[in-house]
Amino acid sequence: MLEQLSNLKYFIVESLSNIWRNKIVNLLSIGTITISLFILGIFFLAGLNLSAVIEEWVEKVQVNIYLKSDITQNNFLYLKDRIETSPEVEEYKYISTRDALDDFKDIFSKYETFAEQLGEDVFPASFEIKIKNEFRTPEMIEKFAQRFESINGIEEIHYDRDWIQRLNTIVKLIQLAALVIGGILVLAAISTTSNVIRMTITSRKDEIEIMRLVGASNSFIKGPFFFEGLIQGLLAGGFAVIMLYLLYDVTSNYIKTSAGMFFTFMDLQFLSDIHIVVFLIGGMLVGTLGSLFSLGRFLKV
Amino acid sequence: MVDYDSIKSSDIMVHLKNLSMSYQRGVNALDDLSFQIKKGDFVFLTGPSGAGKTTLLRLILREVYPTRGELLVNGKNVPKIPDNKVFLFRRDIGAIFQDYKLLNKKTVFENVSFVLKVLGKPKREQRRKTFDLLRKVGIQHKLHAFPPSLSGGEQQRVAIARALVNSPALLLADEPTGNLDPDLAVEIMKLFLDINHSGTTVIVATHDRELIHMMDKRVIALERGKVVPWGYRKRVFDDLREEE
Repeated sequence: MLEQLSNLKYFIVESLSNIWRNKIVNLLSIGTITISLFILGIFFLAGLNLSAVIEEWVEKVQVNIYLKSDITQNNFLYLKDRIETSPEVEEYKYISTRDALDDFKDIFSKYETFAEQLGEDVFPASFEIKIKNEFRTPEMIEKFAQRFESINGIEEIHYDRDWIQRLNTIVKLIQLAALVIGGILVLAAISTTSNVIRMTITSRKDEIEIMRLVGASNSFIKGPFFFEGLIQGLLAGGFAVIMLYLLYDVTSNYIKTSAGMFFTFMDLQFLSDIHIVVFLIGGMLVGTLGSLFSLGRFLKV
Repeated sequence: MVDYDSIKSSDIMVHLKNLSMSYQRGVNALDDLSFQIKKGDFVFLTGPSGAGKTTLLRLILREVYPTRGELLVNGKNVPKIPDNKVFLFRRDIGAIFQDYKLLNKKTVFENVSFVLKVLGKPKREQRRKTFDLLRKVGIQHKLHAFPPSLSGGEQQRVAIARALVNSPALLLADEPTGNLDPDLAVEIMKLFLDINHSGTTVIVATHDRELIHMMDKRVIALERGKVVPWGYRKRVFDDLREEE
């Protein structure tokens, strides 16, 4: 056990001094791993934040039934009753034309006078219906909406189905792109690391031969190279996280200060602690795989 | 067929039978060698350059493989040692190479202590034994120098210290005094005798006839890959001397 610990110390010291000795080449492979992880991270963050947005929207999914201004009392009551008795409805709210106008003024306070000029009638009265969680799939919402289409006095039934579906598709596309592009980048990073380690092995061929001749075991010879890849990957993972954080910081500040009213509700998310750990481990894996490839091919006894 | 078990248990350190080795097809570097070296022996391997001395040492260390024949060292059938066990086999052998094979990026001290580190010896033992041997070869004043800054003779002494530091069962020395002045060569031979007395089998490859005469030990003479009688070689030399 003590021997293993002292070996471990030797491996790490050796690999660090070797990385230092060949700064340029090692920077090359650290840089490649960093960039691949960084780009992978951008896709991941984009997906993460878009999913959050979608979740928020899905939470808000509601069906709006806009009423004609000349709807009869009977039809209105019938409609209200139908809404009340529908199993899909979690809660509903009646918004009168006056309420709608007030809402508009609240949201677009700049245009208050403009709204006054338009008068009460521009905004139709409506029912805002919140759908129960278990019915919040696009298909069920559509079915629900269709049941009301035949009732007289309804101007329009509106729900966010298309948007949700489109966003879902976008997120899926981003995830796919992350997988494909990230996969290619990771492979490139592994191959760069592997080449750098191969160069190190070649440049230290004599040293390795001498170690063999004085009876060093294979693992003793391979150890420093193995750790070289591992440390490269770990450093690269760290750099990638830092770069991602900087990007995140700049972007979220930009959104807060200049993107105006539409996105102010949106707080960008950064990687969670677990994600960061996964990232660092990912970097280590890439580096380690790279060195293992070279060790397997070029350090046969 | 050789009885491996009897050789293993016997007091033979190196056993060769009909051993041949060729680097190229048809050109034998070693040709049908058969002899034995007992444990605890001190043997000189001599002959002109290209006679096969270094090849024989490389075969014993399993750096190269024989083309034909049997080679047993320290009870092990050398060509048959699995690749992943070779390092264990080599730990019992101290080797001094003609080109020293020192690690240029490590200090003199590290070059020697490295062998013990590889074996997982405790730090204190590494330091003690390393100092001890560097003193014995007379290079203790250059502990922290790097090999490229040393003279040939100094590098040779570091190489000798490295080969001996582990008290190996077998010492292979390829021209160990080639770069040393005669006084120092004598010192080194005394060192070899010491380690020989403590049980290490010593094989010294050299073409230094003075040294061989001085030591009065068993001599195996090679010429063009074959063992030739040492007396014969001696007579040729003597004839040449008479002609001068």
